Amino acid sequence: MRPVKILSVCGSGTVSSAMLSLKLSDILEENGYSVESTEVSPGGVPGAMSSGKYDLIAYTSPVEGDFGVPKLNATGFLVGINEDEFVEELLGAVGKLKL
Amino acid sequence: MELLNKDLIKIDAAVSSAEECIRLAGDLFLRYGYVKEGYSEAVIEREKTYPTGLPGKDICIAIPHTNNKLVNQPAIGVIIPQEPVEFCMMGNKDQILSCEVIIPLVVKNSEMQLSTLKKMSRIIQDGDLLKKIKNARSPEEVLCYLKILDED
Repeated sequence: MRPVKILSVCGSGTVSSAMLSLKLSDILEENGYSVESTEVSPGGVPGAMSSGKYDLIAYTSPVEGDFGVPKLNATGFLVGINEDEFVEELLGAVGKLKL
Repeated sequence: MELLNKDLIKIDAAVSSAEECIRLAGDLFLRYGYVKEGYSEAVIEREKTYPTGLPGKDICIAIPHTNNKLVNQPAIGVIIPQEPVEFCMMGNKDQILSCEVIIPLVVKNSEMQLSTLKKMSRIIQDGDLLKKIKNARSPEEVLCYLKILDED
């Protein structure tokens, strides 16, 4: 099975997105997946999506446009609010992937 | 230089806006050599586009920061305002949060280690710990709670 490829997006593409990637990896690994993630700012999304094959986008800063993959709002997840709902959404999206 | 430093922790701070809060932290970072002149302005500008307020479980916090152009050394500050300070919410500018713990971050991409970010993410999810930080009586006490950031 190949890793799930996630694009994590936040304002600067450093702090929140890196924390997000770590937390997403933890959750997905607990559920038997492996993860490859990249962190970008919103401006870097179109470039990343055109060059890399990402399975989903998780963001704390709104991402404009439709890239044909699920986009998950992860601000609450970052601080542990409504975490179960987010994880359900995440696992639902990942479960549909052909890995 | 240490990531955490009690000189970068201000409790009972007389600040009434996000901007004042960022300036207070920025002045400290500048005074102790962590950043260059103009850092506060850069963070204030960035905050307008990409706000950093986070809705904690029990108390709201904010983690103002910006990219690394004006950064000498990474650092983590703490500002506990006398009264909650309004920050816009990360990812949703229209939502205003009254933040009681402000953790300004000085980020240098190459040096902000994953282990630090992992601990940081633990702290922002830990309502009890944030409450203890909010009620701390001295910078030393705050430092004590944040020590897990500097471990290993």
